[in-house]
Amino acid sequence: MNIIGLETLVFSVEELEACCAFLSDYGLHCVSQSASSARFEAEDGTAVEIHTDDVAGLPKTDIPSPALRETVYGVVSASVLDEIRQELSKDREVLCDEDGTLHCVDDEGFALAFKVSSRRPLQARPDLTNTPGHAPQRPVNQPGVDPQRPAKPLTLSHVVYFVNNAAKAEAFYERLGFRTSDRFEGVGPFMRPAGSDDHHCLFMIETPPFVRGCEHFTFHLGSGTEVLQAGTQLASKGWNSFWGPGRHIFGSNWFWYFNSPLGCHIEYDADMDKHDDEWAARQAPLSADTSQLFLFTGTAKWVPGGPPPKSA
Amino acid sequence: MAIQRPFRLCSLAELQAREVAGFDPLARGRDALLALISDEQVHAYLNRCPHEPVAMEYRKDKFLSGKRQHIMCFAHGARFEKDTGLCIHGPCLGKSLQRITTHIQDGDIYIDLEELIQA
Ligand code: FES
Ligand SMILES: [Fe+2]
Repeated sequence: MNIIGLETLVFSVEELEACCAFLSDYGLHCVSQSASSARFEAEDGTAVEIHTDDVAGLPKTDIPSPALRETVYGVVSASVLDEIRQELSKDREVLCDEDGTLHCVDDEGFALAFKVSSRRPLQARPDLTNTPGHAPQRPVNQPGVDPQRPAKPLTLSHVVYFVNNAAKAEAFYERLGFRTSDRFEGVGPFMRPAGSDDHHCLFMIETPPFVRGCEHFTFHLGSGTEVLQAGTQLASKGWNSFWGPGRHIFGSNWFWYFNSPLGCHIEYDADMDKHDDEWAARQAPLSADTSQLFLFTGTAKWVPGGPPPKSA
Repeated sequence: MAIQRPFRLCSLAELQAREVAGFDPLARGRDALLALISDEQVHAYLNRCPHEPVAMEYRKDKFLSGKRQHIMCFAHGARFEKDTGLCIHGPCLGKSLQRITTHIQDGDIYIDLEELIQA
């Protein structure tokens, strides 16, 4: 089943204005906004939608807002939607709305939707590195750093769920053609759909029944440098870091997570590993050492010889 | 006041006006505790979620749920009662925020720095 990856994440929120401020400072484009809803897009049109509680038509949840209400996946063609409908109709209700989008609920209670992807083609600049002993990637006379160049979220990367039964949840996504790239023992799998070579677009964390909902989500930036640059800017605008910056080992992606008014933390990530079906999933116990190559803490800029940094 | 090292947070009137406020008495660059008024009582808690040992607000002083009825951790959405610090929803259900004793004198709110250092 040719699912490409995340298309849209839909949240209900309590503080619409604060969420709008966060998502625009994060770097997304606000493409529509009303008193009760707003949509924020990355460069390729993948998006976060936020709605106040009272907006009609959101999938139901008993998690109080702010909460993830629906995870929308993009697929390559309408025939994939037929395959998904056939498979999932075996054991659950699958609704099809006027524009052909399928809606259902996974085994853990997460509302899912599937639609033909309307991602725009991405034209991003490459992150070129010069390494001694290797032909230079960046031509002579081309500076690597341009402070004016914004670090923009390019595309939705991954979402992470708290689940009560990771094995059962994994089996459900396998039915949709997802494969496990790696796993943390006793925690859960990193999974990628058949239409994506990204290490993961879904990670699940097994927790007791009272722990539910979205753990975090993230968009890809263009490089590790951009994660540091965008995170530094987000922090300087007053948003609080949760974890990072650092670099993961499974997936190799750079990370920086921030608390957010959407009820989960939100990450910047970049430079994730790519895999195909030849890859054999690794596993490791979850620990500080297995989850990151290194970890730093952001700090206000200062310079030797200059004035002391402004306190946060 | 039987306090070893008193530290003045702010006046009662100021906290009433701000509803909830974070403080960084040890100048660590991040608010170490929050104080709020609930049922006309002053409450202060360590700004450390019982789920993961992180600060809970999403930005300066943003510790409350949108409808203001709970203290909230904006890492995973845990909710805490304002007057007990007990988590009533979220990954740390049943655990509590660590209370920091407050002392009121002449309309000002104080804590003991020693208690904060030990916390
Ligand atoms: S760290 Fe506070 S709810 Fe998870
Ligand atoms: Fe992540």
